[in-house]
Amino acid sequence: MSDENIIARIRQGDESKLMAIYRAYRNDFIFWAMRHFSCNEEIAKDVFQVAITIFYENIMSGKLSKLSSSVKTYLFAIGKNKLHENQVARERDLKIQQFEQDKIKDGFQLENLEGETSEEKEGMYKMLEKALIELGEPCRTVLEMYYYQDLSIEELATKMDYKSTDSAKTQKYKCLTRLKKIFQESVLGIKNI
Amino acid sequence: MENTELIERYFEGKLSPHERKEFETRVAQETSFSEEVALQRTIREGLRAVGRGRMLSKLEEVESNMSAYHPPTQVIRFDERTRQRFYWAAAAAIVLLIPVYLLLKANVSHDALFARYFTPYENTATQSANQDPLNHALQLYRAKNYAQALGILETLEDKGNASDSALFYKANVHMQLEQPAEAITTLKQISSTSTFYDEAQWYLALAYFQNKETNKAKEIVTSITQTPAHPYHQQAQELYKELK
Repeated sequence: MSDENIIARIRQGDESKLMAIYRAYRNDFIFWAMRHFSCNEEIAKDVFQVAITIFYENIMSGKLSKLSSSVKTYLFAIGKNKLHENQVARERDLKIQQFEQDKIKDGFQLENLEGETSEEKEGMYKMLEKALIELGEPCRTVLEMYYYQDLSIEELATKMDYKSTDSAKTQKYKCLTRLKKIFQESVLGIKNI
Repeated sequence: MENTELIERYFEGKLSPHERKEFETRVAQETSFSEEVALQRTIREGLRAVGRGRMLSKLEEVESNMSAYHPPTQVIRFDERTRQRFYWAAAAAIVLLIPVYLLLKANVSHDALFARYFTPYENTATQSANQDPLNHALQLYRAKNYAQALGILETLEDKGNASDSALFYKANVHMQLEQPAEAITTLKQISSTSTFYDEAQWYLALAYFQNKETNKAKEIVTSITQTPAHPYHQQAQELYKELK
């Protein structure tokens, strides 16, 4: 199967093709990443999973429909960027650590430079995950298809067997409104404690 | 229009200029409305993050069903100038070797291919205090103590206790000890449902080379080249090119 066919199949929702790509190039990627970015196997594997996910998202959003290179080259290019970011972050962490130690020596404590935003966000997403479980099916799938897989209302109607795009649209809004309610209640619940 | 839909249409850029203005005025004036907008934004971003998280855990599941990472067979690459020099040297060597070749041509085999592509399977089983016979055999294998490892693996097989992994390592030991026929018999016992099956196929091809059964080896290599998801797909392709 050609690379372009594979992309079309993934766009149509065939995730098994994506998993096959993961299996096919994982060893090569880890080998290459460890050699060129002197990272460990664990980081290389994580980065490859992120690269596959970005590849998937770009296909689904329509950003990637035609490849100017092979799938493998494309994946390795994403991976390269991510590995580079990771390297920069690691070096920065080392510097911060060093800085922190100097400060501690001087009797200071370094304040958290990042603030709490990323942690707060993480907490929000955890709450949202819980809210999605409470929301249940088919709403959870409808929302995932629309907001993560970037399916259009027409595609959503076909996939979920809705009679018309209008009823798919109504269903989507119903689901979103219910999720909003559940999520808001759990956020308020936490604030009231 | 209900608020949820109105806010969605705003995010998706589907409001008319007039509606957008009205919307922005409401955001500026009504605290509850602006809170609702913020909430919906968090949900939209959150749904993406949750979707991404689910994709990553699907990949992790695929990962956990794969055999542990092992580096691909080493392929030596030359830079361009070295490569040219290498070709000239090779050309010269070939000219010099023609008479020798003519003398020896009765005995050209694919032994060299075997030697180049065979690397003993990296045994990544974690060290454990567990002293079952297979574990003991793997320790010996790791220490390159092949003869002793073989003894234990054979006992396991005689007792009918040999798992696919035991068979797989036993075949590797046979190849190390240059006993390709035994390796072939052993590898053939690994069923197509085994997690070692893909690895076993690749090593079976190499064992056939070692045993000078070139056609059988080629057959397997060809079928691996036709399976892009095969873990040895790339090696098979490289080997396939050399066979042509």
